[in-house]
Amino acid sequence: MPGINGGTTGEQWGNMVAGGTLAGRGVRLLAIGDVHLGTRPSRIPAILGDQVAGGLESLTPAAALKLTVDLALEEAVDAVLFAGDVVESANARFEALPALESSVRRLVEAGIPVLGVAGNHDVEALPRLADMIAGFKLLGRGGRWESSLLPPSGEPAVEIVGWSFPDQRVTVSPIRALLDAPLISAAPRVPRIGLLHGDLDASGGSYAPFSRRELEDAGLDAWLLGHIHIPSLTSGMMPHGYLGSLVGLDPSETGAHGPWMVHVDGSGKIVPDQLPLAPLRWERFDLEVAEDQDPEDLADRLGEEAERFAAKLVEDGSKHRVLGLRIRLVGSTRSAQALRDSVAREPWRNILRSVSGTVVFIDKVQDQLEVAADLQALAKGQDPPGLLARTLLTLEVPGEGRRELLGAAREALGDLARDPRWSPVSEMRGATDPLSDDALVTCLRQSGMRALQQLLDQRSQDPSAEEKHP
Amino acid sequence: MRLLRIFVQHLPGIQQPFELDEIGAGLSVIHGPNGIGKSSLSRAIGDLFWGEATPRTAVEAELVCDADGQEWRIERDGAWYCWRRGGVERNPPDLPPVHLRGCFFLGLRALLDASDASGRDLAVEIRRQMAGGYDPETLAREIGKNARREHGKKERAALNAADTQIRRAEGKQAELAQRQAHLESLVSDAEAAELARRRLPHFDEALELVARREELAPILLQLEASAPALERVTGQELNQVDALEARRADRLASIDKAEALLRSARKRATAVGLAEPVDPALLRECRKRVDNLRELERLRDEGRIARQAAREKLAVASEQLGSRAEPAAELALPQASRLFAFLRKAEQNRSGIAALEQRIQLLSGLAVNPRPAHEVDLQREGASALSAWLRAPDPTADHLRPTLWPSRRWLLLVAASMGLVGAFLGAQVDVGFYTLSAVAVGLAVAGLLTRLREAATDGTARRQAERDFPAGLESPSAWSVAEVRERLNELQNVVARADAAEQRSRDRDVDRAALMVELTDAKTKAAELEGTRRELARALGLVSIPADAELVDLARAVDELRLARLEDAAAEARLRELDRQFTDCCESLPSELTVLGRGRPQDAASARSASETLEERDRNLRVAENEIRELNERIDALRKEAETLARRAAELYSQLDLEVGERSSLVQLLERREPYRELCSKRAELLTKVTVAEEALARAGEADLREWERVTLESEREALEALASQANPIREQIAEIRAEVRGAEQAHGVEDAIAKRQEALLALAERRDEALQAKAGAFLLHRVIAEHESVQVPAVFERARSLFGNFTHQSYRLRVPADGEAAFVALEATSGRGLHLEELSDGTRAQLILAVRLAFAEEAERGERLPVVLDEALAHADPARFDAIARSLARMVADGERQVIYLTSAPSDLERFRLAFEAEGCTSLHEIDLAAVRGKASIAKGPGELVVRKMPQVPSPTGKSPEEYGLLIGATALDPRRDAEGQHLFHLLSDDLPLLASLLGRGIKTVGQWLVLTKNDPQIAEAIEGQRETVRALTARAELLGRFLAAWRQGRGRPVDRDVIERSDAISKGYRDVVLEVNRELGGDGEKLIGALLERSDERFKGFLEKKARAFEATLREEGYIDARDILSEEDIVAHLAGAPAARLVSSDAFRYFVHGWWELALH
Repeated sequence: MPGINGGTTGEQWGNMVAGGTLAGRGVRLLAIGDVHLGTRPSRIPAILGDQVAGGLESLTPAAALKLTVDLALEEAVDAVLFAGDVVESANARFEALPALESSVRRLVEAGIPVLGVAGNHDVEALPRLADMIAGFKLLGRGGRWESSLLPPSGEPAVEIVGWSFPDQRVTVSPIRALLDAPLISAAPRVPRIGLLHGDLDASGGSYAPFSRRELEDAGLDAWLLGHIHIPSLTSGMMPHGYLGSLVGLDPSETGAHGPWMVHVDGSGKIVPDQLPLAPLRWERFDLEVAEDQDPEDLADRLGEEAERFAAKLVEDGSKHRVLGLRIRLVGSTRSAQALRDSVAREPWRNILRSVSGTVVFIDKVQDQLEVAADLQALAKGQDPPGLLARTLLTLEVPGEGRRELLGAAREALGDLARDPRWSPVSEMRGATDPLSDDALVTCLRQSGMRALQQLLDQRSQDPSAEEKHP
Repeated sequence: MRLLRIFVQHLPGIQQPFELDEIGAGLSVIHGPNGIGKSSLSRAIGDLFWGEATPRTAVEAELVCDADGQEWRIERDGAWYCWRRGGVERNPPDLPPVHLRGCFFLGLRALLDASDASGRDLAVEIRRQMAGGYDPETLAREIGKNARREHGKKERAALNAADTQIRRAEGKQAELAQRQAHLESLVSDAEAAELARRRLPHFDEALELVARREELAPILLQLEASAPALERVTGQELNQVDALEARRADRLASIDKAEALLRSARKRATAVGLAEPVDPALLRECRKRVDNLRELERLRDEGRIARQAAREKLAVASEQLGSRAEPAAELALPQASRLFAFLRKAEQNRSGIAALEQRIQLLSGLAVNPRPAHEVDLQREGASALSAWLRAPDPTADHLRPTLWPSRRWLLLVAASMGLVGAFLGAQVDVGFYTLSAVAVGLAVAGLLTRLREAATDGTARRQAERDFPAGLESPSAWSVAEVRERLNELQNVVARADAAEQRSRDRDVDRAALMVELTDAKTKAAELEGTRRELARALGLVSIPADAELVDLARAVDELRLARLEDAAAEARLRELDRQFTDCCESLPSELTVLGRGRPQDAASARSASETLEERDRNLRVAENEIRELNERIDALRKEAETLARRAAELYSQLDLEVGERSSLVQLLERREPYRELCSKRAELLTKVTVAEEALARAGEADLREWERVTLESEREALEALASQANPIREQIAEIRAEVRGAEQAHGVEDAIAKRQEALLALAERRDEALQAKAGAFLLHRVIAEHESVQVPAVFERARSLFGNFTHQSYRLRVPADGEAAFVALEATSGRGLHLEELSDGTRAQLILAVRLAFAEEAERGERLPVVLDEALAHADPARFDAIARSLARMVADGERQVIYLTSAPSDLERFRLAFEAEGCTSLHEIDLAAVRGKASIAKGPGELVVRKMPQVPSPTGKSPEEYGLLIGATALDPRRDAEGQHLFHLLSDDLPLLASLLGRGIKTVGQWLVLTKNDPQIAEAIEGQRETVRALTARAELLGRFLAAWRQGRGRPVDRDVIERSDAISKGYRDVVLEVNRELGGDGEKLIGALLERSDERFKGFLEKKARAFEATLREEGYIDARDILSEEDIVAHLAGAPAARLVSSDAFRYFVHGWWELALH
């Protein structure tokens, strides 16, 4: 058995599963992605605290972790795996530790082994905590690949191969080291699952970038990844992907969140299954605005659509307590400005709705209304609207024109995008390069549409405009 | 149109006519001193062209010009003027409108006009041409507001505040963690302190022990020096010696007295006459025998009395029997028993017969007379009839009515049971219980009657019962159920009583018969007893058979006589026995009682006297012998005692190391004893204390301390005291840390701060997105504007921009703001800043206006090209720019496009024009000395006015290394803090020095100038460099340099300057100079400056508030003086630049060469 890091002795490790009969019947592993204990979801309206049992505390990562541990105990899983960023580094010692320690202790006392790897957030905290909490086994300490068999004693059923961040920033692929010096399997013919925190398919950066190709070359049977908060774990020949955050920490983390039950059957087949336990769910959807949409009725319509959306989720089996929505207004309307004014007043703010036990609130309404005009027709003109419409059409067609336009835009926006005042934004979870092609296209299209509408509005306000530009 | 000649008759300020008749086709430089009339001449030419527009001008002149090969003459005299061609007055050719006159006649004043109004007319015209009903400029500006520096400032401040809060909370937690980490140490310290506190008393005890030991030491020395005997002196020795001597003298006197008594005792012993004391056993035997004798003597007296009494009793018994015949024989005891048994049986039988006879008589007396049988039968018959009547069904009652009458079976069962019980009890207990049997019979009958009742269900049964009722009996008063039942009860009672009486009579008869049998038996037994009586009489020898009573008396008398005889015989025998014993006892008395000549005692009294005498003599002898022995013993004891006392006195002396009898020495010794004892007492006291202290230390586990010296103890105690004093503070510290840890674990301080930070971050991200959206919108609009400009821009503006670029060596780019608020704007090539006219230097402003006017002049011409008249237009141009303008004019002239007249008061200008024209290969330069024309020679004031400074020559790069050439041309060092536009062109062309020299030769020194040139006049740029690819490559290098510098500055923060320090509200005036000073010392490093302010390690920052430092830090971060981003490495920058589109236009060698070169230069 590999050496034990942290505060768990080999004897303790063996005792955890004493009497277990994992071999021959496969195992069930409960895999948990980024928990970020010590934080709480953002953009939660304060009034929600009075509407949800347990208050806002019931929506935190700590509450989600407790639900997950309850499930692990109830299901008597064979092990619990953490894919890094279990805690925020800032307050791990005093504010995150109690919740983690309590969870691990409950699991250990129930004889469930607990393994994890350190991520960029808890590169300092997690090893320290692992030393403090008996029963928590940190894999790959110091950036050295390490494996562990499950169950720790008896006939092995699965091997977990893990790597932990040695420093807060890692600019090289950690899998490269594994490819250069592969870990000899401690138990041949036992399925091997990789547990890694890092940036999949990133071209660079400081968060252990690695490629899908490297994952494939490593020869493991599955990869459970941490770092990106949007779950993306897939099934197939080599299941791999992100476990996602345990609970959506901000409106960008949409979709179902929760731990994953990873079934490893006797033949070595690995099947992940997400368990959407997160008490809070974020979603966004587009609301097509009719051409004759009355701005006065916008708030009511938003509420109705929100309820309809929530009901659909509940009908599909989602069991969240709270649903936060971001709604994009799309389509073209004659009263775009009035709608924008209505959106700016945020009439839905602090209004909660309840749908089948789910408390629903609208976090934000985004305006992505289109110009109420034919771009193609406009683009035929040589006047500023025509030129702008032509530019916008250029964006939609890949080619040299779009490349040149994006290059110029990147040049023009570069200083602003790189302005130090925004520097913390680039460090946000899930932050993307605002100067990437996709981001630029979106940005240019939205701003261009708005500018085009305003240009046209200039003419509509000029009584002589019709004569000049029929 | 070209001016040929001009005749001036009269102009304001010029009264003397003159004529200029050699005006050249190209550039004519008309020079002359100030006041010679140059400006007047210029105005006059204009007034001639646009005469109608200036009717009030007092001009009298004539101008001849050539237009389309035809000569035109313009004549004017005051308000009158006309155009003639071929001598005939004609309409003037198509001239530009008069408001564009300034485009052709430019004076120094107009060119120096710094007001924004200058050129506004032209700008308005340009805008008019470009406008299409839209105002994208305004819209771009409106949209761009969100991209201003202030945008997101509030959110960034909130983020910074949250960061600060997090840092503070983290700091506190880190501090707490450190303190927590020290908990074990603190606990250990606390335990050590507590231990020290507990040990302190032991050290006090140890010190006390040392003190006692120190106190004890001299005492021990004194004691050691004292006489050893003092140790043994008790203080009583003198008294003891004296007492011993006195007691010894007393003992000797007692011995004398005892010896006298001894002698007297010996005499008394001799007088007793006994050789030795009598054996006590003998004496006891004597006393015992004397006592026996005396007892026998008493018993003998009692025997005599008893014998006398028996004899008297015998006489009485004989006397009592005397009247009767004395039995023949004495009654034997069995016979007496038989007699008495007979008497008891006879008495019992007699009593039994009397009792039986009495009971029989009683039963006979209780006989009753029962009722006559027929009467009872009659009543029983009546009761039966009534019962039958009652059992019969009541014809008037509902036969279905439930009845309370018990079932027949039940009645029969109860009757049987009662009958059996009654019979049993009647036989065994009392005959009265036979009544119960009678009742049982009644019930049985009743049960049987129920059968009849059931049989008859109609009134027949009742009527039969009424008929059956006996006639001799009183019938019921009425034949109703109640009356019948009442009558039935009466009859049944009577019958029952009759039955009971009959039963009792039968029972008494039975009893009497039984008693009679018993009586018969008793009488039979009496007869049998009578036989026994006679037999007894015979046995007693009685003649007659006495009655039982007499028989009894006789028996008793005989018995008493017999007893009396027996007693008498016994008394006689006893007396004889006692006499014999007395005699034996006398004879057995010891012989010692007969000594002293007395005879044997004959009675108890003499025996007793003899015995007592012997005992007295023996006693006297024994007393005397005892006295002798005791006196001897006493004398011996006294002698021994006297010896002992003498020995003890000697021992006392000896013990005190004195000769026996040295009483004076003893006295002296005793005098020293008290001080010695005090010392000993003190020693003992101290030793006790020492021992107690040592034991206490040993019990406390501090045995070692007993061996420590005072100095060591005091030193150690002081250390312990210091340590112990820390116990409470340490415990408080521990409790405080633990409380804080608990508080930190239960609180969510950092979590709250993180949440706030996240909220602020999201808000900042939204602001950033808004800013980027705004910037993107503005970008698109500016792009549209630019494109619109390129499409719709008037030729006049294009021409003006080209001219202005040429005039300024591409240091500026001309813009026409769309909002109409300003006339023109010159964009500075190095910074991109837009400068309004009033912001430009006089020379640049003049060049701008000149360029615009010239361009408009070309534009405004309608067929005929008017000459351009420049009056001191280049007076403020530096040589380089003069040269640039002059060369532009040369090209204009060389093309034959336009005639130019340049009026100047500087003679050297002619030479400058000449040099410029030569450079452009233009020879069409003419000189007109207006002073000479007007007859006033122009004389130079000095040689300086005639010297023309040569244009600086660009050194040849041939044979020079890039570095050498850079130094030669004065290239500025790469300043990474500046944008690319401000960098010297050397940094783009150090690998192509000839091209660099060529551009320098055209005044293009900076990257910005090059970029402006490519924008102002791409064709000219290409013409300069020969090929399009070169232009694109150089422009790409410029873009790469810009990207490199931006990337290099990432994370480095720009140097803190005076401006931000003076602007910041966080730096008060009192600290401003100090901060500026420290900032200079730190080289403008923002992070170091903030660190110094926060740490306040520098004395100059003493008292500076942390809050202010944080606020200043926030400002520096917001404005880029502190850049939190990571500094990029050379590899990072290379990777960053490699992805830029411009990199594709640069060869890989050049890319590596320049990027690495820039990196090295930036580091230096």
